[in-house]
Amino acid sequence: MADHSILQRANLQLSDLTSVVSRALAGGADYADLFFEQSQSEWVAVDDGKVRTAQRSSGQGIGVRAIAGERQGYAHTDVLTVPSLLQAADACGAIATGHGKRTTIAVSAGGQPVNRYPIARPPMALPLDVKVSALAELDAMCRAADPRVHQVTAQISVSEQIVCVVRGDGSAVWDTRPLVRLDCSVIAKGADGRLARGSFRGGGRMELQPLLTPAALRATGQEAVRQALVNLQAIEVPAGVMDVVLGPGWPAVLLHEAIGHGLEGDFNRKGTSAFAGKMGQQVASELCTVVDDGTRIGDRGALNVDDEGTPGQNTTLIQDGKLVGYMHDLLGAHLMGVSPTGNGRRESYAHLPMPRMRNTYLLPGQDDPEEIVRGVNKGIMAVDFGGGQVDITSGKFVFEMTEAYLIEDGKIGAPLKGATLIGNGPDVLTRVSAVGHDLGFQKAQGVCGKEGQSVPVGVGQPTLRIDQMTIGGSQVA
Amino acid sequence: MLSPIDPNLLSDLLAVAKRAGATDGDAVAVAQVSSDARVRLGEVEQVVRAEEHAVGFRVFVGDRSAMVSGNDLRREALVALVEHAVAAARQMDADPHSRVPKGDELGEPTVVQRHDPAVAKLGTTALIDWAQRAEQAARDADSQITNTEGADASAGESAVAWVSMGGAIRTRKGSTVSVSAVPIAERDGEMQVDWWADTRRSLDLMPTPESIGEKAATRALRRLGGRPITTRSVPVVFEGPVASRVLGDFISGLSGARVARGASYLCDRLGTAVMHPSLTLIDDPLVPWGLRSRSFDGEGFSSQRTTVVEAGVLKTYLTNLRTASRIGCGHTRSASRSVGSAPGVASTHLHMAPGDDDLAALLREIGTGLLVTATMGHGTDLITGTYSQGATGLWFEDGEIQFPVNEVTVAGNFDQLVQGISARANDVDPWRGISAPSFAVDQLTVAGAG
Repeated sequence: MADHSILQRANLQLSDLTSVVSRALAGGADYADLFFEQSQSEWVAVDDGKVRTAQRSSGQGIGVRAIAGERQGYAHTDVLTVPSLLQAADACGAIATGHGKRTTIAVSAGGQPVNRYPIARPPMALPLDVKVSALAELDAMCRAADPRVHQVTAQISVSEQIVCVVRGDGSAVWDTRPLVRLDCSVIAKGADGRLARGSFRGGGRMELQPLLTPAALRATGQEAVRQALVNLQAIEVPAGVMDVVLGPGWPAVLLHEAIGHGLEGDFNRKGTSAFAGKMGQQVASELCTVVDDGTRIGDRGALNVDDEGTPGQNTTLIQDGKLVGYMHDLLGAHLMGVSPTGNGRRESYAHLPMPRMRNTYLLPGQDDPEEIVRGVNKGIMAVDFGGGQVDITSGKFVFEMTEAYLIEDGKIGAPLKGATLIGNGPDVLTRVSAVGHDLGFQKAQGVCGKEGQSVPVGVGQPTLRIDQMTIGGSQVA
Repeated sequence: MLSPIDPNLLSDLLAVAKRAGATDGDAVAVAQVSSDARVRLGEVEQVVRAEEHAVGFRVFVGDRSAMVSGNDLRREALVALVEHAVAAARQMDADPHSRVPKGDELGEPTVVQRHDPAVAKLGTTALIDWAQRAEQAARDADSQITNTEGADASAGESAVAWVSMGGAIRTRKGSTVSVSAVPIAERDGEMQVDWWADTRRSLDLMPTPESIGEKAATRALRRLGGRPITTRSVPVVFEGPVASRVLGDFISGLSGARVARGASYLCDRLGTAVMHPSLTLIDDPLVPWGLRSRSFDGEGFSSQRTTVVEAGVLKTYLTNLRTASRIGCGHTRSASRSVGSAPGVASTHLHMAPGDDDLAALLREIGTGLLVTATMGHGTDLITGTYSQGATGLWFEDGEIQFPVNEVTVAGNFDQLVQGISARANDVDPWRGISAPSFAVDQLTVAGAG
């Protein structure tokens, strides 16, 4: 979907951009491309009982890239004049100095145009007053829900990113990506002065209005308040090794961190991932099939095309426990002699693309979720997570649970606070002993960080049982 | 070449806002240029050149305000942006605590050294050379360094301007140069990665690339052969960089913005003990060449030193104009500001005083416990005051290192942790923005295998 208005707004012709790419190639590079981006975003927040903060920003810029062998030269600027862009092309093209044999990097043809962003009108067009009154209503609902609600913060974020990738052959690929999000966070205060937090969020590549209906606002507020009140009752976590049941949806952030990052092509090409060299091997229990899917309509990680112009697709990473695929960008796929998988992503024009996840999820199994819990003698049920982190090379990962419960004799017991889950990526999926039939997605929330770049992602999974994980807590059992 | 944005452009646009109905406002402009080179296994992997500009406006209509920002510096684009801001401000809730300072409140302009013109003259060739030297030193350190994720060198400079509708103007420049290395150590099929980076504002202060590579290699090598220990309560020593993270989390809990929302266990603690009585914390934005030093804060106020904690007792929260008014606490001129957002609150150069002896002496004093050398996760919950992190470290007995430890968590009550920092080493890194020496805590729960 070409949106030539961004060219008009910048006073540029497509032929100007093509000549910039040609200039970047002139020094002897194997490949060159240009990433042109215009973005707009709006952020409105209610905090401390007032909708007093609104921010709107617009940005534009162009990054020019040249590839010579394994080298990449990149130059980006927000001065969108032809002389400035040619200067950027010369700067990045210099990477090819001394580069001997020229090879060709194959790019995928555009394919049939698709639209995975189900919007009738751009979410940026929704007037500010609608957002202001929705936030005021949400704040009032949360405060009215329970006298222990001490503080409410909620934000609406809306953005639109228009991108255009221009290649050396003169072809141009366009994408216009909406993204919306509603966050609600509640702090509850107990009679003893103790504080606890609960949160809920919704969104995706969709319109904003469905999140702002009275029913949707009420559901969002009720869920945030419920979690805060649960956490007000939370007890200290017993530390040690236990069986863990992960609920559906967002707990799949563990899958994203512990497994997903390790399957990004760059780490494996360089041999720096704990998964390097394991292609075709059993890396998970046979119950596990994991995909990274850019094609789920309206998902935060959905992409019509990636940031190098490769069409979005669904890539199987683990099939019945066997490692069958990595995620690739153009350069990585070229160097490994495979096809790009549409995982070349970047935060903005100010960044080089890298292999990044889209929506990573584990396919549903046969087990009844309630049966899974009943089968655990002593363990932990993790319903909601904060964030997590992984060390790709050693495989070690860590997660903070924001809503979790003890399981005793197959029953869900007391809520827990300050619980951390640690483990080893290549090991954790081998311990999966039950997979529920209740596949759930979290398409509103994921922000993935890698080398300082953030991109929106989705995750999903059904209820999972993982045997014998280490729980960090302050109580020695 | 750095091309700073003319403050007169900001004044001109604030006048446009005024004609559109704004009663007050301020504006921020940032221009920066940078170069970055990354090498891996001796070969150049990436060379990046960047040129960035951005302007942001905060406009008030009475007690209501809104923010806009952009990087299209053509006047018609900026006029549309500020007119949008005025229209948006009218739709917001009134906030009696927010305002733009008057020119005579700002204080005499201060000067802090933070710009070295030599940094901008560094070419790509020099950066590639530094990165290669850092990586080579890491690879030469030991035959068990078998691979790397590369090494990086970057240099850049920036110019910031702040302008108020009332006519006050503040400008400053800064430079930074940075080298990092990320080597991988391997033994018996086990791979361990670690890294080191040093960043300075002046070339003269930069350590050699070789020292950075060697330090990174030492950190990766000492992880090899790590294993979990069984779950127990033990004394824990946090090595300097990890101790600095703890200090950073603590100071976040003292942010007026957090306290105004009731989102800190440190609310209602003014005048009470919040740290060990041997500790005093001073936030000092005036340290020459300090990475977080600045001559004026995000609201234009001339920078000043603030004693935050004295002998363990909390003297003040860190505040900007709004949060000082909102929580009824003194104004510490601690406004942070990005181009697109309303003023926030942040500490600047903040150091915990060192002890007398080195880390080895501290370990001997403690006897037996876990030396934590790296943590993973974001596990400090400042609302509940709970600390829980994934940790890597070294087990020590009778003051002597015994074996590496990994895949454990360290957890406890954060308030008790900070108040329990009794013993400290003398190894504060003087150039880290927020810096603590290695310190010991009596008892934390280490969870591991069984």
